[in-house]
Amino acid sequence: MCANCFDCPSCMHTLSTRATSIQIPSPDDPKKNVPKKVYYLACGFCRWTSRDVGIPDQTVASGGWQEQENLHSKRINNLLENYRVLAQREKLEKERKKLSQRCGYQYFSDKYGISAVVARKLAGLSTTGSKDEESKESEELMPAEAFENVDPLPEEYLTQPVNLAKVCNINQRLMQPEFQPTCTDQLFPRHKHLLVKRSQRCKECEHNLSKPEYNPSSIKFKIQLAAIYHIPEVRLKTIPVLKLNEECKIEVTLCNPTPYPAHVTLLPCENTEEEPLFNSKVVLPSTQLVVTARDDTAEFDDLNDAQSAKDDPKVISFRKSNKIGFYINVTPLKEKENVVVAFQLKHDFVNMVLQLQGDHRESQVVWLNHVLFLDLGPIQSNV
Amino acid sequence: MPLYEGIGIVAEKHTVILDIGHAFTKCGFAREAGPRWIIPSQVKNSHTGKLRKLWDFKDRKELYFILKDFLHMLYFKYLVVNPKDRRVVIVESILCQTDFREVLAKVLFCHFEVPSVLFVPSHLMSLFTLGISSAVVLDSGYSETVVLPIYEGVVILNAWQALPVAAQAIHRRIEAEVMEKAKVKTLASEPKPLGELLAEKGQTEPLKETVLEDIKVRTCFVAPFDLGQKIQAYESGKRLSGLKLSEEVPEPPPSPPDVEYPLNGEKIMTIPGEIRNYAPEIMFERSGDEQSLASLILDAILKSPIDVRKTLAENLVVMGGNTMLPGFKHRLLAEVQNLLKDPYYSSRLPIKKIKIHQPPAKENYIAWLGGAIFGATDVVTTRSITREQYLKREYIPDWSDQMWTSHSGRGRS
Repeated sequence: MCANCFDCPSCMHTLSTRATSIQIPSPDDPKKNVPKKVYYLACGFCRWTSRDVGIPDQTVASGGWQEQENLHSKRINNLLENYRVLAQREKLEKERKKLSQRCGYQYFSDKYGISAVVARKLAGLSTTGSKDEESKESEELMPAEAFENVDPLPEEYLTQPVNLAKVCNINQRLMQPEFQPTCTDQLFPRHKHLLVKRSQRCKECEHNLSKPEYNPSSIKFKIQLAAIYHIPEVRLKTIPVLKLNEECKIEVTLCNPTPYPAHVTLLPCENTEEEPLFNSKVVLPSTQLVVTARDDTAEFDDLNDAQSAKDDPKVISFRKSNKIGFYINVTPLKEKENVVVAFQLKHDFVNMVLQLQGDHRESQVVWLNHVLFLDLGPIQSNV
Repeated sequence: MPLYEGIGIVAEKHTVILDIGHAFTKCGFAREAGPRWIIPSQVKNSHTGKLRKLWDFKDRKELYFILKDFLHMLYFKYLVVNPKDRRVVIVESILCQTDFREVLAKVLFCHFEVPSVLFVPSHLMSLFTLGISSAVVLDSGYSETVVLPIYEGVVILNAWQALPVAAQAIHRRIEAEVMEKAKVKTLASEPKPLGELLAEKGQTEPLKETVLEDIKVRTCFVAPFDLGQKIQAYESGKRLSGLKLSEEVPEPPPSPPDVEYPLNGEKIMTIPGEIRNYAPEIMFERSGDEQSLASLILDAILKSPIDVRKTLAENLVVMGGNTMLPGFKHRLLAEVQNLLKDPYYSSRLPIKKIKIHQPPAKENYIAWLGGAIFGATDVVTTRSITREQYLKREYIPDWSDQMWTSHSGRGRS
């Protein structure tokens, strides 16, 4: 909760503070009026103001707004304290029971306070023991009283027409759970609810992925761990006109961001019946696609050595340093929906993060599988 | 209401109190006088973007994902606390499905890694807001009304009574009545019946549940006893004459004023006044097996041991969002008193007085508040199921289960 900012109780927008001046009698001469600057809250969206519900204007721009008090808070605190004491006593009794379970007589006499009475008699003490204090505390809790009569329905429900604009809707009521106003003149500004600072850790290794920062712009991601540096990037290059039940060729590019050659295989994906993940048929290249490693100096090389690999031009459309283009064949099967296809991307991943420099161990190779969805947009209708 | 605690100050970490109802979820912290939020029990599926209601689930697997999304939203958008360092108290109906509570525990323990969970029965919790230990508690929420007597802190489980008449039933009646009788004015055309207008456009799902709820909350009220009887007599008479079983049509009772209800920018629906008090009447109509909300209370008392009945009758607690309708409590008392004159009850229940309690909270979060008071005591540390215990057995004891006692104790402090 923010101490200074409020939300509009009517439409839940943030309220802004407005300044205005009023005439008040001058302290020196009661006959003269002097202007004074005061502030009130207003909603720029629905035009609700704090004056609508009779909240007095403030002389300072921020803070100082009266808080709405829960009428029952005293009673609830009383209940809280009493039940806490009760639970504590129960806990103590349980512990005592555990301790004195062996010597039976001791336990009973202890429980019913006989030994305490005997002890007091022996010591000749007056009866200002702890026992009395305890009973005094429990006396404070007054059980609630029940009533035979409750207020009947006010007559005006049966006779007076309703002005819906003045009756709160359920969202306005539940915005203030403790008060739940029924009429708009009971609305009270609500403290602005703050959002949480985001922090993420890996579930398994507890590694910090992003740290909480006070300003969202200063969030730094642990960059070398981000997927964009490890996972081959798939992009759509060209999409021809899509027609229902017609196979069409779509050109997709694949870019390898790692300093190792990537071996990529595309595998079909299974659909579920209840919530379909994709709605069209796709034919994927059956061969393994090899993408050369990323080389930052490749841009400056004039030599075109890309054609060293012999590619099937039906599958691979082009090859340029660490990027290739290839075709997939898509058959849209559903009208009126965006064409969505899914497939699995299986590629090798060489773990280089954990490897220390000068450590010449064999680098770990892991095969990773990702599910990809391509949304190819709507079908061209037959014109 | 406590404000933002400031940075770096380690405040005492109060227990999270959750009351997941069929329509609304109440959430907040122990030791506070009211919940922080009351939000609809629904969540957007993180993959498909569809709005899902928590209690509409097909199997446990589906529920797991719904609850995971929902609790994530609850913790990080509304409560804004770290689930790992706060204990949880779940206020639930004792008629709650085992599937639901088990999956809920699984999500909390395995996904959110909460330190401990304590399930507490909602009816019992209401007594903590009053400082009493015996009462008949009527809980009328969204899907059903459940009555449960409690004597000296012990739930008289075999005397429970339930009826599937609650907010949802009222919504259905409003829908049926509005479709038949309400007229819609548009800028362009003459007033038309709502049913006709919707049929024209071929809409299958005409009025959303939220609209029906809004109509109920803003326009409906519970009629006083005498008027209520007249409405019931009129409606049943109309039905009989419609079936040609009876010739005479009774006089219609005086109806409250009509309401102009804006449907959207240009459409204005005129809700006939009679719907406003006829819809909630469903709670007091004695259905096929002669049951109404009032008879539930008396049946529950009647099923309880004979020597506790008087105490129970003098301690009636009413909770649940549905009971917030204007005039509800007054009517309920009148109905119960009238029913006591019925030969069936008067011969068995010589009760003179029925007394109702006024808890220090709005009806829709009484159970939550009880949970907040209960959850502020040491009981949370002694009776909860801890994460270690759960991971060892992967098992949540049931109310009627003997294992419960060995795990966490039972009843109240």
